[in-house]
Amino acid sequence: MIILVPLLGLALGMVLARLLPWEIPLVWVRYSPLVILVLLDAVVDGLRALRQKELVLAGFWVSFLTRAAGAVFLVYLGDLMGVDLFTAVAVVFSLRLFGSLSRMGRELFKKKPF
Amino acid sequence: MQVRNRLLGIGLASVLLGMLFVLQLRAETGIRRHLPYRNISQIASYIHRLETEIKRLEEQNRSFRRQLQKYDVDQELRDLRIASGFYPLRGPGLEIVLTDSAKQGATFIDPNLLLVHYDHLALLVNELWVAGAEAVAVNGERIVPGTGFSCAGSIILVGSKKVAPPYLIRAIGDRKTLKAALTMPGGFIERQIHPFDLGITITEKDDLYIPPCRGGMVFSYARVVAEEDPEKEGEDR
Repeated sequence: MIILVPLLGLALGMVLARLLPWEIPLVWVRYSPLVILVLLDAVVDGLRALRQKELVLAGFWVSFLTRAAGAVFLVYLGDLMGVDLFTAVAVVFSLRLFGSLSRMGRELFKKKPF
Repeated sequence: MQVRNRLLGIGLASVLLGMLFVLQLRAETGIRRHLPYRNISQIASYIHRLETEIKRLEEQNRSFRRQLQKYDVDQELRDLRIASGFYPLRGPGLEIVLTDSAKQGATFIDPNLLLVHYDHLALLVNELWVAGAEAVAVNGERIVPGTGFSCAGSIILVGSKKVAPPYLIRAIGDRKTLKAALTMPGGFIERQIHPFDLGITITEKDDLYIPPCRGGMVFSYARVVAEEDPEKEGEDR
């Protein structure tokens, strides 16, 4: 049942964005995929934490924001130095996402204690 | 209550995720639309077709002009046609070859500093006009009153013609004056060539050929009126 909330949220967000005329400025298009990746990881990991009853909302947001800002900053720094750090950062956060997914799966299908 | 709050937090994060996702796709498709990379070969063949068409029309134009030249007897009309670049010309003048710097740039030196840029050409041609050149051509492209120099990435456009180094500038005029105008202290060479270490050679020629311009002239906006009093200002609408 819990899985429905992020799915509904996802659908709501997509519909909202289709209705709104916003556009990501061209300069930021390079960095926004990182935020998407971090956000995806945050949602998956948040769900797992929620099921394990260890989710702290403030911590959830703060850690998401620091991770997103850190990722963007690192890539920006790489651009300043002429080194493409995008792939490096994307790989790290993708790995994190898969880790979160597998932990989520383990949590969902673990044996219930009687 | 607590659980519902937390669920709402995650829901909010998912809303954000969905929005960002759609916005990203929107930006990405926007970029794709502006860079139709699939059609490059199509566009290239189209450009090629147009270029051969232009070449054909230019050849036609040239032959017509050659025929008309015989009937041109009015002196003023002749002078005007010379000034606007419709006639091929011959006469004494300068041949100037401008090349990029031969200096091997250190990695920390901006390579742009070692290249001939469109403004070098513009300044050089301008200097030649000021020194009384009667006709100028850059890499075989006649400079006419409407010719502008512009930068298009790695090449320079003279009017609509792409030119690449070495830049060969021919100018008909008084050789001594033209040369002096370029080489004088604080002049073009000292200000524009030496600081960038560009290569320049100036040769005096007894009989230079300057080709006619390729295009014609079309005036779609300007119209001829009677001369107005220069004192009256503010009458422009």
